[in-house]
Amino acid sequence: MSLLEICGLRIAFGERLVVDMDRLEVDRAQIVGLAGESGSGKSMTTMAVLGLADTMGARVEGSIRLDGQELIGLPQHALREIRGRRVAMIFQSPGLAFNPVFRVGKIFLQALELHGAGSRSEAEERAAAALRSVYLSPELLNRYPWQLSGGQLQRISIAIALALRCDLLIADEPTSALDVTVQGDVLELLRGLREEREIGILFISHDLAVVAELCDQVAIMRSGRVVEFGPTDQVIADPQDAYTRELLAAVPKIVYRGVSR
Amino acid sequence: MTNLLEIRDLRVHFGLVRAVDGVSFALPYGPYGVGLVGESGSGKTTVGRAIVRLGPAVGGEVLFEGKDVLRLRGRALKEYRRHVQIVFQDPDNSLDPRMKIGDTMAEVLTTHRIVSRRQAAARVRDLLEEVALDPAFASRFPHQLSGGQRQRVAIARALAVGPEALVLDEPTSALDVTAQARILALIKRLREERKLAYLLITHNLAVVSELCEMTVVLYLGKVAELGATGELLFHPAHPYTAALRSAVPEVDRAARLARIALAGEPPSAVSPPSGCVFHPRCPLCIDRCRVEVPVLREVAAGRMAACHRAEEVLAGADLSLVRDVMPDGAAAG
Amino acid sequence: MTETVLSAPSRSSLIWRRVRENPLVAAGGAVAVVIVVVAILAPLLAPYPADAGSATHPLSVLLPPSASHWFGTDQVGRDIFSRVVYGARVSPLIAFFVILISCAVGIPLGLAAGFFGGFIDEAIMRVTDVFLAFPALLLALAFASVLPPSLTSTTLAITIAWWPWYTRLIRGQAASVAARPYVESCRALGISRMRIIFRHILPNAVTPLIVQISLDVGGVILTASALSFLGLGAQDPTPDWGLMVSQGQSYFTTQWWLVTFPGLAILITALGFNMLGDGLRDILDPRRTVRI
Repeated sequence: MSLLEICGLRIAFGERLVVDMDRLEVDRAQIVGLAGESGSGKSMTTMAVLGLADTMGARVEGSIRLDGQELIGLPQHALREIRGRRVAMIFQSPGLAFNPVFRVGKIFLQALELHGAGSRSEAEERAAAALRSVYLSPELLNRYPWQLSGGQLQRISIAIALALRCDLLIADEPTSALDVTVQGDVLELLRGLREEREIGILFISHDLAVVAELCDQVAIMRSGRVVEFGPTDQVIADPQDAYTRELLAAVPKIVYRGVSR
Repeated sequence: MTNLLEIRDLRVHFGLVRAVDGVSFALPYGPYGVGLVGESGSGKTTVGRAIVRLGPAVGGEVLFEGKDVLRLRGRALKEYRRHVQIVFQDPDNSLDPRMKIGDTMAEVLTTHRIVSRRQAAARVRDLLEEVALDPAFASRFPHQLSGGQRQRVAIARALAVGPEALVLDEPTSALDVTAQARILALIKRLREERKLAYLLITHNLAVVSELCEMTVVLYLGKVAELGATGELLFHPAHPYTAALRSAVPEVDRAARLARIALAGEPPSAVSPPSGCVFHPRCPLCIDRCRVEVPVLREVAAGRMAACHRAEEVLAGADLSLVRDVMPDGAAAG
Repeated sequence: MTETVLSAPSRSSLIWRRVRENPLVAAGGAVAVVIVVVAILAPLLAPYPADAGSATHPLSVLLPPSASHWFGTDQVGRDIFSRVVYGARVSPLIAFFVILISCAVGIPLGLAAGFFGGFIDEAIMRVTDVFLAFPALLLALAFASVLPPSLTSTTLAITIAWWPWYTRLIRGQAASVAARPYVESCRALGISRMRIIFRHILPNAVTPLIVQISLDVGGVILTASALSFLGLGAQDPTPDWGLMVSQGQSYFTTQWWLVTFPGLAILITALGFNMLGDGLRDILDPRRTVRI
């Protein structure tokens, strides 16, 4: 049984169908990429997994199962239990995920205490350990979000997911706003999560190159539908769908002679 | 043979922040592309803006066909603007949302008296066709166009004055990959048709490799290295270039390089490190790097680098960093 | 391959649809239209037009509302309904001039401060701040009291209190618009500063001002009424609503109609324009723009 199983998911705003997904699965210790251009429905899919789609005014049908448990139709209080304890999320703009009024440590410990870390000292220990796993000094917990760089904040988001001991991590364009060298660090950390903690990761991105390097499986989305799904190497080496081929052809590659005469 | 644009020791300081601290390079006559590459804080956008006189400069020179443009004012400045134009990164906000596309473009034409008001409509049509847009777009508003289409309008508008040089500031970073591919193809075509010279400012090395004969790598306001793009990317002479190159994700597994991780965080521009600004993060850092600022010097034919150990990097030194330190200042380098 | 035009609804049809859907705008707009129509058609609507002027009827003083005098008569026998109808010309006219002059002064100053920044901004805004430091009503009162009481002085006094608000509003908007990439593009393209200010910044900065103006009509009417009430504005026999309330005060307990009807007129007009302004703010709120 997969960690996350999405079946026949349909999300609509009024009459406009924004997601029409037959099937998507994420297993433990697996990174599945959801790739597509803007408006393809990738972010709405993650909203649905988190149970937030209807709060945005969308109608959701179909099945989303987390370890066999159906998520669609669950009341908000049950979903709140799941969010943070079993499913964690990191966003594109890490600065937006942190309330600038609080020190990072307070937000971190709040998250831990909310989701079953027991005593305060246990929470603090977990937080410190998680930060070390992402190569950050626990001293950073005393800083405010605006004192930290985008890369540091993103790593802290990953640390929180680690400390919460979630099974599933949803990462929505986590590196799109970061410099390419910092992006490399974050991607390496995500690989680490998969290796050492056996976390399942649903990785959303418009950058096919990042998806190609990071993900074990990839689903290509277009206008709400998954047009191709399979092991990354296979999809890239032998794309079946015309759109996939078009996307792959459009990705610029480092070449030795471009326009040089 | 003079160059179209020469930037000499350009300095832009915002208070204590040295955004650009002594940058020099040249843009030859077109068709030619120079890539200005760097990450956030490198100063690349500031350089571009200074060249088109949108941002201040505290020192150095920008020579257009041999004449310094940094101190131009009034009519001379307006005249200069017919020769060097800029296209911005943000397609959502680069066009006045309350003006029709046609009016936006006609405004440029009439400001510089390129054509009479009566002929403006025809010229707008020609320009739109040149960037592969349906001329009917002239009567539309920006919000009715996609991001890629808006970016093309921005390019058409910049071309309306007939410039010899274009500064393209991250022209495709905000676009989807298919729209990006179309814009890049457009730039390639315009380059040949108009004999354009352009300065392509970007963090994307792949884009630079496709469009630019020469590349300048910036780090914290200084030039780390510059040279022919292909050679620079495949045989870097500066550790930062090598690290940057290795971090670029590639679709093609065969093209991937072992990642060279950098220690620490991107530095603060307010209190830059002593000596070589890159030294706290450099895998090849030695004592000399901490005290002595490396000079940008020729390290091979047509290759310049600001690194004390550039020859070693060029020769392929091992740059891998052992990752058991806490990069945020806790452990020693 | 040329790209073809996307068909999409135009901006004005989107706004028009929202107007129809918003009850505040509909109700407020209706009141505004009614007031304007009444003001224009006053001679036709008022059964006793002379009563709006200096006619007096000593034999019909203080008559309660009846079929021949819908709102009753006042202390010198004038038909209150006719005076209220003619009053629709007075207060809105004051509001019109106050707002017009305040805009004429405030908009250019705000644009200059916002666009040029630096010393010009400082100079203009510090002067503006001095005026803003006083509550509008008090400032208007102060000026009205040193001028000979009349409608003109009321207009002048209120304008002096009003213009700084528009300056500050436009300055904030102008500064924010001036920082946007399309304004920078204009500078990079060599477009003249005057043209940038009036062709690019002004149209994009003016939306909050439209909302503010709708809200201000009510505010100015209230302020003008207050000044007239205090005897500093319109003088008898002008059918100013505030003056009518003031004159009817002493009769309030027994002949309630002298105060009530002009008071209601003030209330409804101010309320109507406030609702119009609120509704407009909802409609024109940029965060509600439909993404196409």
